[in-house]
Amino acid sequence: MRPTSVTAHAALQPTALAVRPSETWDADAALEQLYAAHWRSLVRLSVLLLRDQGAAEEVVQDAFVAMHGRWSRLRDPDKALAYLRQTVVNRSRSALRHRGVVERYVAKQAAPPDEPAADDGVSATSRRTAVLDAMRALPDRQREVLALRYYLDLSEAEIADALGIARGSVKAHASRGAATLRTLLADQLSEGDL
Amino acid sequence: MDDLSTLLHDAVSDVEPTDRLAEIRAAVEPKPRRFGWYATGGAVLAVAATVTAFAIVASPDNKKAEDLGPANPEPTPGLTDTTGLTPVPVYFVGDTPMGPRLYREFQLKRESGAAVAAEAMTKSPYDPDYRTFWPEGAIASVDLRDDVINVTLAYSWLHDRPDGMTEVQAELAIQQLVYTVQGAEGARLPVQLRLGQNPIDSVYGVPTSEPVTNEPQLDVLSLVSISDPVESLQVEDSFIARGRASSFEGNVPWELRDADGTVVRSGQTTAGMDTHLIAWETEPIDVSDLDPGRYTFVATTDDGKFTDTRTVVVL
Repeated sequence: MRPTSVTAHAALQPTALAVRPSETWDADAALEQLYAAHWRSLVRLSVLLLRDQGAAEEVVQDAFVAMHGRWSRLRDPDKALAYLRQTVVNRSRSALRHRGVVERYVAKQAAPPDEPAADDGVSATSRRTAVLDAMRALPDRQREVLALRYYLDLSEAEIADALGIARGSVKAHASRGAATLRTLLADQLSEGDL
Repeated sequence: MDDLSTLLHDAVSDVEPTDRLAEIRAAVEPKPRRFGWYATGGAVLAVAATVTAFAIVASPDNKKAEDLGPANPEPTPGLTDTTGLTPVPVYFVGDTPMGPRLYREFQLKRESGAAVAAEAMTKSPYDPDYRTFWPEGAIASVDLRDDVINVTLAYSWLHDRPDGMTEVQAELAIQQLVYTVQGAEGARLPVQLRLGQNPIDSVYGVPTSEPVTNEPQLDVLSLVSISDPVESLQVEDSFIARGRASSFEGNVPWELRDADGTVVRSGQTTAGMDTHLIAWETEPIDVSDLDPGRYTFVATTDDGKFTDTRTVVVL
């Protein structure tokens, strides 16, 4: 007698096997591809949060290493990218806190900021400096929401996920942050010739 | 609203990060820290496991006294979904009263061959009771030349025995690799371990200048193991369990236990007692009147010392 035994679920099988990402996307391949596609934009995101390019590169490098270590639980490029973003934001915030402590002690020795070229009106360099300064002047959450929204073009839901806050809070931080930023950057915005 | 978007993009448009891929790669290469188990089992899709079982159920050769190779991948009539999928035998480590021993687990792969099996050996087994001695990605390549299986390692630090790994464990790790590549090749050929182009003189501190051969089965394998069902197989009506054993007078007692550990079915089948493990197979085990849920199938040797278990899900 042949056992009728084992159940097939034939309809499920090809899909379940075909999409099992761990088979085709191991941690190293995921790392290479995500690095190629997102290294620059994530460093730039971190610069918007931190101002300091060297520190931003450290933060994003660590985020990629963390993502690789966690790959067995992510197993999906979209989830991995979301994890990278979240990690970059969190680590940028920590780096900022840590540096804030250090900066208070070294402030007196710090070099003066770049002077805008006197004959150039608002030069590109000083405009960029002004934007980064204004971002630094915002509370953490507002700065993070604005960077994710206006630089990475994330939806409210994606921002809420990345920051671990409610969508309503995203909306509130975005509107307050945008209002403050517009006030601080009134000169740059009025130029209208970016 | 676009004004802020333009300003923020412009603010970092001159940021060109330095390339740090090499540093990141170096940071993620597994390091020889204190020895622990590199991966333990359990992460598996039940659906995928179902397919694996099919391919094994289909095997008419499973009764061979010493089935070196994978079960015959010829699909069950009417089951077309296993096209191109092959059960590949992979050896993992599990506990026995005699210390750690090797258990064979079949995994379903698109390609067969020793390289596929060796790679699978460095990843999580399906069965949560098993684990591996090899870090993920440890095997760079496997090829067969002049009746020697050449296995090239990916990490030079595999040369030394990690802190915390005993000599017995190190030797079993080598045997885990030897049995896996031999099983996938279907031949008990000597295995030469290499790093780059050259033989490596030691792996985990075990001498490997010369090709390594398999130790006797009774010294390194669990004396009972289950090939089929695979972990978390879904069953209804009945199922047949198969495996290998070396047991006194060939007896292989088995039990099916419910989630509380209560024995709901039990029986005995026979394998044999020899210098190697011999295939056993149960009669169809009727589960048609059991409540749906998770059950544990347990096969043991006659003296009860060696045990292998599988979860089956009754629908």
